[in-house]
Amino acid sequence: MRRISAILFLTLLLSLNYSCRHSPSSEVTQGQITVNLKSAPDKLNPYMTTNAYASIVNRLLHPSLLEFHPKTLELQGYLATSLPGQQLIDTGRLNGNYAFNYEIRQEARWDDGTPVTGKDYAFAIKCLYFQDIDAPVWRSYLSFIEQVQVDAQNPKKFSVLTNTTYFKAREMTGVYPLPAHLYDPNGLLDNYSIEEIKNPEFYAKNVKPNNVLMAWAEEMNSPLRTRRPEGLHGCGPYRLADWTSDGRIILKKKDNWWGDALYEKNDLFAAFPQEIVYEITEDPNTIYNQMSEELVDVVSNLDPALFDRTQNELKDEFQTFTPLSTQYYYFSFNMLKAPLDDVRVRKALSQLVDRDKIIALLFGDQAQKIVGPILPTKPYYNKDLKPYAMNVDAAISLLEEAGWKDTNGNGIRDKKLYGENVELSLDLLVASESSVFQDAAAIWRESAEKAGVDLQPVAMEFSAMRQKLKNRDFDIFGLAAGLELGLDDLYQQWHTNNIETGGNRAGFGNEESDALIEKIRSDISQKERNEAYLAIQEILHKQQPFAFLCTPKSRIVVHRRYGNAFSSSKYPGFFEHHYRITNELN
Amino acid sequence: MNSIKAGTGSTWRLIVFTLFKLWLAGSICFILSRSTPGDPLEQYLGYPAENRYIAENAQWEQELQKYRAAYHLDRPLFYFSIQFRYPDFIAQLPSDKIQHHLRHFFYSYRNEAQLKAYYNQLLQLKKHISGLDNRSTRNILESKWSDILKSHDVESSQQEMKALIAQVNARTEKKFNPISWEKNTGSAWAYLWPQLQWHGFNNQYHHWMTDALTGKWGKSLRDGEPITSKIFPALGWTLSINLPALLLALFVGVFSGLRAGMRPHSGKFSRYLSLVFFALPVYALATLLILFFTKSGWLPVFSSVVRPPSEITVLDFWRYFTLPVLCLTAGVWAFIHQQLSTQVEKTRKAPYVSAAYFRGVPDSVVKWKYIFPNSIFPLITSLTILLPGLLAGALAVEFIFDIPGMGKLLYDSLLGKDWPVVFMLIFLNMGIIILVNSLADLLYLKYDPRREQLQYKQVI
Repeated sequence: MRRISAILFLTLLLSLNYSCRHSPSSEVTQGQITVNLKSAPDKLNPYMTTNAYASIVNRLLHPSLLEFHPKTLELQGYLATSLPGQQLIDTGRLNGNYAFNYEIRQEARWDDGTPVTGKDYAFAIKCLYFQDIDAPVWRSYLSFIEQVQVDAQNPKKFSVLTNTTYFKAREMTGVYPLPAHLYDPNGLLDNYSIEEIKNPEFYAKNVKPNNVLMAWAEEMNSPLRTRRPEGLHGCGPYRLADWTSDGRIILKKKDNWWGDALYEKNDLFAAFPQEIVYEITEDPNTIYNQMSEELVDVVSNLDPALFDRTQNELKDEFQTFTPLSTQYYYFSFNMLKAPLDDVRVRKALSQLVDRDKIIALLFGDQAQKIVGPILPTKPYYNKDLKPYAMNVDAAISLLEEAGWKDTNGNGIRDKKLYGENVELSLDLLVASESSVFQDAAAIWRESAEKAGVDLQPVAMEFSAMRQKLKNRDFDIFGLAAGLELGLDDLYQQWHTNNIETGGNRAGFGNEESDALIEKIRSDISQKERNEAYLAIQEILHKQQPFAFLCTPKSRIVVHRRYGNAFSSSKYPGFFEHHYRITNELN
Repeated sequence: MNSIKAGTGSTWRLIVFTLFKLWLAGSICFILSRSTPGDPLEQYLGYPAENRYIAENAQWEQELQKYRAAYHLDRPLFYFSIQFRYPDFIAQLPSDKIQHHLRHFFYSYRNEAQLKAYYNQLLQLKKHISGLDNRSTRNILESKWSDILKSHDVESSQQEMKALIAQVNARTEKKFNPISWEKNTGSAWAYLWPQLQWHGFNNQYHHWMTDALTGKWGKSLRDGEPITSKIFPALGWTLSINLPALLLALFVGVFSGLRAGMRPHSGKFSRYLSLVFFALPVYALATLLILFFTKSGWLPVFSSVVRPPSEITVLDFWRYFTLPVLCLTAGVWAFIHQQLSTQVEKTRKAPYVSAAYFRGVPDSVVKWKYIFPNSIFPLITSLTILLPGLLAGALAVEFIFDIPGMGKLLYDSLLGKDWPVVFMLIFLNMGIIILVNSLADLLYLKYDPRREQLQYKQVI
């Protein structure tokens, strides 16, 4: 019996060893790159999603007219030959507003060889305004586009007519054409103009009752047009080859892609790997184990501790990059409620945030302190302003000056407000999903206690927290926000028009700041705009509606076999289509 | 004959009770789905403050309303609602927000006269704020005025009102005085008689239950895929690891349990081992196995199989599923081993077993014909307890080993706030457990001879 057991055990060991020899690490396909995504994309139609992971895949399937260059971060023409010419409309209903004149590259073609034209752009805008197509966010974003006029002589040329002189309109119009002949082969939308589809009354009366059109919209919303290889058509360098049942997305390079011919002149058209595999794994330890087994080539935002471990233990296999990301972390004060309506209290609290400790402990020293909602690499970032440093004594004197004293000796400062004695005790809302904010809140609470401020971190599920923020039912909250690569529009978050229901949850603003924000949005020279940016940053710094914390650096890891790998602040920070295996470079 | 009639009645009772449990499970899922904080659509589509793509709030609200209607979220929750009556002037106010706010005050103070004065003061304040020249100050004070209405806490509303009055007084000639609220202890309770409102079948509960029970599970909020096309492939993956785990645990557990029960002294080690595996959470075991096998390089850790379950080869299965199956097997084996060894030990001491030994019946015959059949029966019914454990264990195992099964789908849908998928998955899991339990009860009714005797006795 024992002999049989020993034989069985040996057989088990041998078969384990056999299976090891067949591990995928030894099966690296030339021209294939595997990229980790933390979560699965939702839809691969650029207008039907705002999912960040979908945008990573979509940029290779559906290129846009304009694109920020990943290295120079300058806005350039991608499908468009160049940035569009901007002109003021001088007649008709849209008199006094902007029109943008585009020309699409002669080489640009769809998969079936049909040229990409202005009609495809007009079709995309019609789809967008089609109320029964699931694109509510983009519909709202591009609501200023009124007409698209395609040149009768040259269908590659077209003008986008808008109802605005908004300063970012040019950048915003540079979106994605959709193949009209493939998505609407019967030309159903040809019978309607953009203005007609956009008009709610016309839509309700003429479009909505049309069953053929509704069936077409249903198909556009269906997985066929958003998730299935056979129904998705783009003019980008890759096509969707498979979206497996385990969530893995496989892109294959198109044969004779039109952009290959342009690479010599413009490296924006780089598309080297023959196959890109997006592997969906969220658990950091699992990702690290996949890296150890060399099952993944590119990982972004690796856990700080594992990033350090990679630099030590996997340094021969992986190269690391830390570009500044396009987001920032902050704590927002409710300026509309006492005691945070007093700037001295806000400044005192901001001086009680130990930013250095937060960056060292929570970001593994991979973050940069900031003074306002502008990416620090921008020319108009106000470098004269210094981030508030941790200074308990200064905070105490500010609180004393504001009348907050510990009169009852319980260690918490208090003050008479509207006839009642109120203690300086504040709730600090953080999302229970964010360990970074929970830890940052604990660090802040510790230092606030030294100044007699009782900060009570309250961790709650993000959707519950969002409801509270929507109702302005908070003292302080912690969140991260996005930063722009293009010009910054501060209206949504900082203008007083958006205090009641919009994005200005801090309740910041006065006549001066409103005027500056409006000036930035108006048609002025970039020099004047830069001055206005500097001025508003100064006001924000003085008023401290937010305790601005930092902009984290993306922690990107790329396998060493890709010798030309680089990273940048442009999302997602890595550019897998640019990467080539070292021996291919030689 | 009498006993057969009694058995049929029990079967019907079981069927009715199963349907009742399914209805209860559906209702619980519905209540849970409507108890999640926040607006489910807004959570997915975005909220203007966080989404720089959204330009106009009013237009965005219209879009949200359209989607609410598509998902029946604009309809009443249930067939009827019970509302408390409040002074008529509150019900006549045009704004729901003001009505809601005033009800809180009325509930606290029940003082109609002061409530009217408070409402008038709110209107006056609004009028004066709207008349301010400075637009930024006007925006800020209007927002503070709105904040007061949003508050459900009477005390904090009063504080905010005092603060607002102080700010308005500083900017206008007219001076306002905050109301000093007094509680009416008189007959104001008369208002609080409940009022029943009938909403008919066009309500959220009716739609949810009808769709859930008729298999119209709708689409994922996140990617528009039909929920069934997400759940059934995932179910295939889950079964691919759960079925082998269950069979392996049964096979090994029966032999080891029988052996440990027959030889209590030499079976101590396996009993301690089963205790360890029974106590060890699946995720801990999975992590330990991953650490061990990653370091040793003996087995690939991840189920990176780019094929649906139906196309998986034996070699694939061995390479990628050994560890997840072992993780799930360990706990189930421990349970079977403990149950069976204890039962065998008891049965071994029964007089009929001793009698068989004395009659000279061979050991193997006593073991397999006398002891085993009488020890296995309680195990069959307790196996139904294993199913929820296996489904729960699959969640951790699928997450850690990256297997796209039901557990991982549930986890991903929870993270993505894809509530239609989440609650249908919960409902399906509950339904499977209810049906399997009912099936076990049915078999128990049919095959347990003691049950038949008991029923016969009851009838005569």
